[in-house]
Amino acid sequence: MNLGFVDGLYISALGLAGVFLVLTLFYVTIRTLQKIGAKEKEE
Amino acid sequence: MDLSGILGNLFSGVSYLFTAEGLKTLVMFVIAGTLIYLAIKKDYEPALLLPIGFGAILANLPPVLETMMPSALGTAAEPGFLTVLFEAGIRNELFPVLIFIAVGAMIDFSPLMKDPSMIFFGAAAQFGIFATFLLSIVLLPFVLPAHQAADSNLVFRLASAIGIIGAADGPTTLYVANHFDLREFMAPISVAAYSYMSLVPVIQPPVIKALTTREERMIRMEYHESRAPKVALILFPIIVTLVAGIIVPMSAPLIGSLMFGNLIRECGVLERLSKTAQNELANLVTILLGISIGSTMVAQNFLRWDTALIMLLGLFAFVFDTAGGVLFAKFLNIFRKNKVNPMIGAAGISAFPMSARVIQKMAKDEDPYNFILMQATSANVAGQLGSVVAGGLIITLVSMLIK
Repeated sequence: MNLGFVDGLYISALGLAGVFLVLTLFYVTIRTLQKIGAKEKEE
Repeated sequence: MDLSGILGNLFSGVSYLFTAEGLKTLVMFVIAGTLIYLAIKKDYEPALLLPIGFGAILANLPPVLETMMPSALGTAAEPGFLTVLFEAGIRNELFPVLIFIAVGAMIDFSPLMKDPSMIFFGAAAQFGIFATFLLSIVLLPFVLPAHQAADSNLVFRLASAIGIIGAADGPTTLYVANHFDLREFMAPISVAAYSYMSLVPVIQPPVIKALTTREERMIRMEYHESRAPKVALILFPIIVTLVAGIIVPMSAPLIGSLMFGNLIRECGVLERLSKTAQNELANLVTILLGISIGSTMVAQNFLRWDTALIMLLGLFAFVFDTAGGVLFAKFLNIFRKNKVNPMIGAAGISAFPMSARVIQKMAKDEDPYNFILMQATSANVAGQLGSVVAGGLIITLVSMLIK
């Protein structure tokens, strides 16, 4: 398959969006863990 | 054999230095000497640059007459010790994974747990990877030999590895380059990745200064010292491994080893292993990794136009990763009530903890009482995660296309 600049553009856009998506999931993970930690402290 | 023939063979190394190939060898000695000089005199990441420089000397010593290969490299039939190390540790991605276990054991995610919004700088600072990937696709065909330039699969694979250099993440760069079987280009890619990593204090400050005002660099950020709950620190590496491993399976070896090292550190029952990972394991693998990388710097693979372009594109990637982080922080400041010091964004690269230290030093230079090390460290550890995820994604996406 002959790949061109447009294919590269797709990869770049999807790649950067993917990094943001996965790190957003990590962010949600930390927020959830913060809540668990806070609950543990209260108890 | 007459006496002159015996002497000629005995001192073949000396006569070799006066041939065209020998001249290239001398150039490589100068490059290796520069790396060693930077390591010893300038203290730029000496643990890496010194072994790389010395490995380059060993790999470029005049060849043994019968084999026409330097004895440290050996031949295919009888590999020398550097080839054995390369095959055992880099070719099969073992050293990058072991280094990540050590790095994971060194990372404290507490600051990130306290201010998780810093994690987005670890994503924004990967911008340079993808910008460089695109630029490489355009420029590589101009410098590669015709048969390689016509192979768009090779161009895409090589562009991926060059882009990752920008993350300032040596192990991930090696991982991507290895995955795409870029052995021929391993020398410039790995040397660019590791030398730019060590040049963080030189490369980042001018880029940051060009993109920020003095007032912005003086922005103070609040931080309350306290350790994150233990349960959160234990669960974090496990959940991150699961999330990254499920969404980006190609990142699993690196993120898994990074998080494994971190779990050893945080679990509280493996202190001995944690210390071993942080010290003995890190030191041992660094020595072997450095000298193995240096062994790839053989003159005929290194002194080429594509090497110059790869080094240049690597620098471009590094600069644009830094710029991406800073500009993202400035963008966020438009909406945020509590402004972020935009220099924090530059710490979203993977060079841990050097980048965070550079940012703190720059903040201190502008305002001696400004303490943003913790926020910079948060962005820096986020950059570790971001670069591994970016590496996994670029492998996945490019592999899907070139199938």
